[in-house]
Amino acid sequence: MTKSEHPYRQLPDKAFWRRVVAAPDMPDVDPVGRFALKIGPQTRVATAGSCFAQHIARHLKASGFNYYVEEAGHPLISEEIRTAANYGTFSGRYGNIYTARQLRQLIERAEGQFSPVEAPWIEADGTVRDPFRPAVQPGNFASVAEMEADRRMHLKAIKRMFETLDVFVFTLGLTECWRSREDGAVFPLCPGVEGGTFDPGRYEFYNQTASDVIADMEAVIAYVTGINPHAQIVLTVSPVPLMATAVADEHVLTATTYSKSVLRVAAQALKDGHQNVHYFPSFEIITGAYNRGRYYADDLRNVTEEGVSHVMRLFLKHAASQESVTPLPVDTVSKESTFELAAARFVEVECEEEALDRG
Amino acid sequence: MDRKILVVGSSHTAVIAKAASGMDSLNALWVKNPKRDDGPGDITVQQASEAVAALNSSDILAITWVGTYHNIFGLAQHEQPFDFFEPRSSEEPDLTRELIPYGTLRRQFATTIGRDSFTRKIGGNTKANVVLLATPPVKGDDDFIRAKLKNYRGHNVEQAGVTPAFIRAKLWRLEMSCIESYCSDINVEFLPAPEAAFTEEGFLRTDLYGSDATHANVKYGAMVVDQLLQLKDACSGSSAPG
Repeated sequence: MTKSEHPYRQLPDKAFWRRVVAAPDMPDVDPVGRFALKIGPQTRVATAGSCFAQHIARHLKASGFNYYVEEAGHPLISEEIRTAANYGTFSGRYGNIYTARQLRQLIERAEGQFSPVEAPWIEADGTVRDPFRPAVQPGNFASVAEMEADRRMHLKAIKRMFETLDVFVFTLGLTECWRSREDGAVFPLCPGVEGGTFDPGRYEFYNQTASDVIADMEAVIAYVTGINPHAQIVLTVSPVPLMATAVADEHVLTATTYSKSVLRVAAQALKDGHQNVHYFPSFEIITGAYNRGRYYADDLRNVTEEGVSHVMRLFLKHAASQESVTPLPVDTVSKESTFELAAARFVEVECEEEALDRG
Repeated sequence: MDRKILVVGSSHTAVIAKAASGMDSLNALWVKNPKRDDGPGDITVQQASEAVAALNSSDILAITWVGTYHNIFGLAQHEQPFDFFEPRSSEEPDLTRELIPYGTLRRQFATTIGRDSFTRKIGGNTKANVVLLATPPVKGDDDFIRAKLKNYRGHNVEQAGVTPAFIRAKLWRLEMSCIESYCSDINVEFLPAPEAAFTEEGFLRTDLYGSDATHANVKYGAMVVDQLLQLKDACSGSSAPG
C-alpha cells in the first residue's frame, strides 16, 4: 500500500458521514446497509413489539404485504370495533410487548412451559384485566372466567402464529420492566398504573442488561427456528423515548440512551449470530441527526407520519422482492412540508406506557 | 278524555293489531319498510309520523322497531361458530367455538341499535308518552326454525344450519339489554317481553310461536296488549311513564 492509499479509499459512499448523512436531502438518506431478507406478496409477515411496532403493522397492512393476523377477531364484529379492541393491532392480540423478557415469557406461556402465579386484576366495578395485556379489552373482561378463556384462546393463537408465519418483525422497545418477585413474570406496565394494585412486596423493578436481552432473544430465536425452521426474524429498535424511568436518581434522557443502546447492541449481536435474523435501522432513520429532530412530534417523543413513512419506504425498497407489493403512498409529504405540518401528522398509537405520566 | 294507545312499528306489530282488533282505545299499525313502500304493512313512515303527531300528551305511543339484530347477527350459523360469556350467568359457553368477549359483542349491538333513526324520529314527533317494545323471545326449537327457514337475509340456512338456541337466547337478552340502555339515553321507556311468555329455559313458549322462525302469534300479541293496558291504567291520572 502506498502512502496515499489506505483502507478508507476503497469504501463505498455509505461509509462516509458527509456523503450519505450530511449532504443528501433529508428524504434521500438511506442508512440501510446489507438487508438480505426479501418479502414477496405471499410472505406472511407477523409483527409484535412496542408502540412503534404499531406503525410498522399499519403500513404493512396498507402496503399490499401479506400482513399476517392470526387473532383477527370475529368477522361479525365490525372492523372499527375489532380495531378498538386491539384485534389486528398486531398479529396476535397481545398488546404492546415492550421487553424481550415479555416476548420470551409470552412464548413460554403459549407453550405451557410457564404459568405465572399472578391472579387476574379485578377492578372496582368488578370487571377484570389480564395482567399481561391490561389494556387489550376496552371496558375490561366481564369476569375472571371470560378473561381466562380469552387468554387460552389467545395463547393458542400465538402458538399457531409462530408455527405458520414466514417473517416475524419484532420491535425492541424498553429494558425497564416490573416483575413479580414470586416467579419473575414481567408485566407490560407497572402494576397499579393501568389496573392492578402496586405492592412493593410483590413487585420489583428490573432494568435489563444487554446480556439479558440477548439471552431472552436467543431463547425466542431458538423457539421460532425450532418450530418453524424457515422463519426469518427482523429486529428493529423503537426510536420512541421512555415515557418515564424508574431507575433511582436517573434522568429520563440518560435512561433512554441506556435503554436504546442496550437494545441496539443486542440487536446487532443477534443479527451477527444468526443467518435468519436481520436488523432494520428504523431507530437510526428516526433519530439520525440528518433530520434535525423533524421526525419527532411536538412532544419530542411520538414519531411523525413523515418519519414513519421514511422508515417504511426504505423497508419496502430493501425488503420487497421484485414481483412484490403495491408501493406505499409514502411520498405524499413533500420536501417543502413544514415541521409543524409534519408534527401535526404524527399518528396516535395505543401506548399504555403513556399512562405513566397521567395526572 | 279517554287515553289512547297507538302501536306503530315493524312486522311484530301485526299480531298486536290482530289481538287488539275491535278495541277502541288501542290501534296498532305495521309500518312498511322505509326502503319499500310497496312492501307489506299498513302505513308508510310518513303516515306513521303524521299519526303520532295527532296523539295527545296523555296518550301512549308504543313503538316496535329495533330488536331484530340478534337474528341478523346470529340466527343462521356462521362459518366461524361463536359463543360468549353472559354476565351474572353460571352457564359456561361452548368453548369449542370462538369466544367473543361480552364487552366487544355489546359494543357491536349498542352501535347498531344506536343507528336507529325511526324511534327517535317518530318518538320526537309526538306529545304522547313513548314506550319501546321488546321483540318476542327466541324460539328454543332449532328443528322448528330449520323447518321454517330456508334462507334468512342472504344466508342459506339449510346449508349453514341454525345457531344453537341457547346462544340465540343469549343474543336476544344482550340485545334487549342494549335496547333498554338505548331507551334510557333517548328518554323513552322500555317495555320488556311479558314474563309469562318465557319457558323456564328463557325461550318463547311453544304455544306462542308464530308460523315462521322469528315471529310470535296472536296469543303473544294479546299478552303485549295486556301489558299496554296495564301501563295505561297505571299511568291514568299520573305523569308520563317515560
